Amino acid sequence: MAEKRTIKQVRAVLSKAPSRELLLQLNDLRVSYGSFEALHGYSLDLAPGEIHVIAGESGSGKSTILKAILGLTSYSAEVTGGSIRFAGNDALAMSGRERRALLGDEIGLIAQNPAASFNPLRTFRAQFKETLESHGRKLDEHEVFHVFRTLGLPTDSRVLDSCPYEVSGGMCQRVAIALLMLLRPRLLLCDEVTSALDVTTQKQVADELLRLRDETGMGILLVTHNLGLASYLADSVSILLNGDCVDKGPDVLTSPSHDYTKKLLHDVPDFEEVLRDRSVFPEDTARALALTDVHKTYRVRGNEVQALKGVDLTLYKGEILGVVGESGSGKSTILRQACGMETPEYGDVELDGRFQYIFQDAYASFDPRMTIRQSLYESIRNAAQKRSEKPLRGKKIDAYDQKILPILESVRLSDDLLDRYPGRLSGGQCQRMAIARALIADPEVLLCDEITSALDVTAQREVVELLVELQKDRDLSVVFVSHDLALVHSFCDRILVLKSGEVITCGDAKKVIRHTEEPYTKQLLDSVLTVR
Amino acid sequence: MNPFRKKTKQLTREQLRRRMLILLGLAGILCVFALVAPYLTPNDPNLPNAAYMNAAPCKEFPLGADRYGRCVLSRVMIGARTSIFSAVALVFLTFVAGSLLGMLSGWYGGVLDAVIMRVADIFLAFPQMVLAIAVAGVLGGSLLNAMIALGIAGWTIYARLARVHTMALKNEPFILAARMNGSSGLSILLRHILPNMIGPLLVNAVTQIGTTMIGIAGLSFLGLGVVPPNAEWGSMINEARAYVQLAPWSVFVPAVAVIITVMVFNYLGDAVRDYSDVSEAK
Amino acid sequence: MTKYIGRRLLSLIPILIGITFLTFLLMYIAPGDAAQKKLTAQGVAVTQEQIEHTREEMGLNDPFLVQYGKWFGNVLTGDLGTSYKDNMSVSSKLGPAFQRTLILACSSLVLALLVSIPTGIFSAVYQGGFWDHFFRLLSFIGNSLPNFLISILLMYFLCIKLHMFPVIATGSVQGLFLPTLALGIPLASRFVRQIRAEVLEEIGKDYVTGLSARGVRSSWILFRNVLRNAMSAILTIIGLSIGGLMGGSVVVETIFSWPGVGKLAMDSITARDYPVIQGFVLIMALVYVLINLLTDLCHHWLDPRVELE
Repeated sequence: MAEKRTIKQVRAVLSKAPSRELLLQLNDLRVSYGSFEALHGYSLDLAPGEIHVIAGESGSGKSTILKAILGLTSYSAEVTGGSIRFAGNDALAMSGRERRALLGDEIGLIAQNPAASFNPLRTFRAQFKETLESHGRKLDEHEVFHVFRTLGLPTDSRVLDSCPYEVSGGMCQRVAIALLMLLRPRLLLCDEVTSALDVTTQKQVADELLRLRDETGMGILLVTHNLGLASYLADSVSILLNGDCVDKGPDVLTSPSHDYTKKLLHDVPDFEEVLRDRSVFPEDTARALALTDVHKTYRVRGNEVQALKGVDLTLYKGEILGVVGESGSGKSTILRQACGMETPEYGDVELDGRFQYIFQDAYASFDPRMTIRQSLYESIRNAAQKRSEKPLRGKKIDAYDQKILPILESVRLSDDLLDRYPGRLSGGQCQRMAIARALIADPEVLLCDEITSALDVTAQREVVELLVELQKDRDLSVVFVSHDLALVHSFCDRILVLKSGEVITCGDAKKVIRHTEEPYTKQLLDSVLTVR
Repeated sequence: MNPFRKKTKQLTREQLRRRMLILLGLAGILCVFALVAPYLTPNDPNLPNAAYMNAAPCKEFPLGADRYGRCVLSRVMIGARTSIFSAVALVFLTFVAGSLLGMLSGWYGGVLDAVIMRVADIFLAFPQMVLAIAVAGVLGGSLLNAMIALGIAGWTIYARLARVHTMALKNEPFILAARMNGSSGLSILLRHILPNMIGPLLVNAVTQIGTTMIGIAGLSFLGLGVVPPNAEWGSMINEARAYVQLAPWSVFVPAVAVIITVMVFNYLGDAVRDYSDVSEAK
Repeated sequence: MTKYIGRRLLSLIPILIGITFLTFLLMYIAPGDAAQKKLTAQGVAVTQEQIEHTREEMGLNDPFLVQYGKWFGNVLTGDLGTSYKDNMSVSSKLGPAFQRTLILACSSLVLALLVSIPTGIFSAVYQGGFWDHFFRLLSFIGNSLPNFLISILLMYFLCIKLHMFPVIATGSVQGLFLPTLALGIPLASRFVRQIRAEVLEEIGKDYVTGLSARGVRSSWILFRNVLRNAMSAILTIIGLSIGGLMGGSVVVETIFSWPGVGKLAMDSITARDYPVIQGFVLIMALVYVLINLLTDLCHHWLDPRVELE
């Protein structure tokens, strides 16, 4: 893994480069969608060889900046002020065709969605050829394999001759980087390129971007919400909040000046902070959930995929158990077997107590055509029926409202959200509402399936703190599935690490993270990018 | 960035909604007109008049007379009732039956699903018109037979759509959440699945009205649907086509009626689809 | 791929059985006595004795399933029965007629494709432009005209008024022109809309932005990527429309007197020649199923991500 070079070192390599001028100059850039101004005057100077990261939460306007540089095409989006200069040329004054001529050659783009880089149905080889020939070059296999080798991709025709739909998202992303390495644009724009990737692949891609910069001296402008990634890659950082740049510079993450940046940094989970006192549970504690030697297989496209290969799991009463693993490790599958949504072919599942399941996508867990109030009423009716009471009908029922209000208080939401539709709530509010709905049934066990993975860092923090509080007040037993090791370390009693359907290790949180000898866990830990 | 996505002016949601409502109004006017037509005809549509056979448009017969001396305008007016309502009724029936079957098929799966889908496949294996012609040809020509002939395969579109949507919704988190909460299958079907899938199906149904009208008119034209002396635009055209040189109005007036009505309903179908596309994308 | 073909063929068997069953059922439930119909169709005055005799001959007193079995067995050997009208074998009547319908169908399809593919693609690429609106208007009108209406209009204007074409198409090339137009116009209208929608959807996909962002030439993006990907869906559209083509041919053939299988069917309906009707339905269904199978296979070959339902 290459050590990050300083700007000075990189520029020394580039001293022979013809153009010493600034690669990209944004001056008080303003972008509006119709009457709504999404970006309120953003400025940036990017030099060759510099990596600048624009960080912010969703809706902050960071992606808008990239779109403006490339040329906005949606009907209502317009640059309403400021200028964009690429290598001294006024980008806004260029015609669409002139700007497109720059693409690939001078400006490169890697999108968030790996599928967006390639036509899924044609081989990589055909597409490499097509791109290179569009720039007047030929496909030279030796060159391609050289680049593959540099990036750690297999150097035989296996990859080249496969189609994008046959390979994983991470692989697609890396092949996209390889192609860019061949094209050598002067400026690279990256839009959340690692968000859809696993922790280990994320680190690989980050390293590859660094290598790209080191070998070619290209300037990189990267947009992300992941502050750890920003810290790892960036020479300097901008922090965006609702269209305004509140902080900018090389030291933003190490010594933040703006309150918002400080809050963001505080909310990012790291291995130092612990949100609650962890408990140790003796072996003979009552169990809320026990999985014994569970096997589960799925049929996917005619093939059999073994999702769980003999998993043992114990959840003690009153415990918070964190289950971590990469995508495809089987962590969500475990929860599905635990609650009875699916049955394993082999093995025992014992769940003792009323349980509730909380989904990753909070919006999707509510019927989009019902108001929150109606959804909550439905839960109350179901609970009433279980107790053999008569369910009440109606659009607004006082008795039910009485039940809802205290629960809303405990999740810290106001009751004017009740008459909204799910789509009108923020991500964090919606997830907390899902927790409220779960609490109506007065559960003893909570099964949380990556409930914060889709949330912004601040919302994530709120939900986790809420969960900790609720667990204490109601003595809940919780299984918390996540891919975020640092998050899980901050509040879980024990951690279980899963890989490809097998339990790699399970034990006290501190021991598993700090003092582990287990190689896979170590690899996971090394890949985690935290703010330094 | 996308070289093909020019900055074209897309109609806003409001404009699309207005367009849809205007067309709905137009279609509604046509329906109302069809309803009251029998009371507004200038002449008795079924009364032949030997003195005016193939007469050109004149005071007594505003749009002329057909080969039997019957008033073309009056016949076209009451033909509206047959053409419009039979099409709407047929679409409605097949829509309800097909959606129900498809929903049950998608939700319960298993044997029920296999059986329903096989039956649908078998009916779909016949080209629609061929089946219609055969059924109507064997059972004889009448409006009911024509509707049966078009309907026995017509429900399959909705069944297929409903099934696909139900199966997709079945695995959505909010349905899973409702199941784990204890909601019964029936209540989930009615309260969650039905409202969430009915949209695209309704759109499809509206777009089918025009096609169904053409189908019924076509069958009547062949003599396999509404049979003279009942007035129906398709059969009127067929009756009159031998006399098209003598009395072109007896062919063209019903022809224009068909064209206009089908266009209104087709345009309505388009407007509904455009509006719902935009609403979904929101 | 071969596994896919195998599975598709297997799923066909219940459908084929269902088709034959339904077709047979259709005739069975036809009102009236089959023997009587047969004799009347031949213009013979019937006595009760003769009816009884013919019933025995035709095996009409056997139970339903036995009759079905016998008929099914015959079908497998290619014997579709004998026409009531002139005692010729149904297959010998259907055969040549089917060939002529095939010619008509092919020429209509070719015409429709020649017109609609470039138009649809052009409309999608230049979406919102004048020509896009123009073609959409044209195709909307074409879509709203029933094909019997188009046939009559064509006949009126081009045959009667302008004397450009013969009124009765005798199977000659000259006679082929108008029926082809009558079938081709509504078909082309439908194709234009669907092709345009398909290409538009493909154009809107993420990878087009990605390719463009790498500087790939627009024409290459369009022809080598967008159209290639859209081809499988377009093929499906074409395959599915064949059914409408076969149905539409009945009307057009009747109006223009093109001696194809559709006209034969209509004549048989008028003459109450049920074996011919039965054979017609069966053959049409089989052809349709075959074409659907081919379309599915092509679709899967072009886009392997598509799964058997």
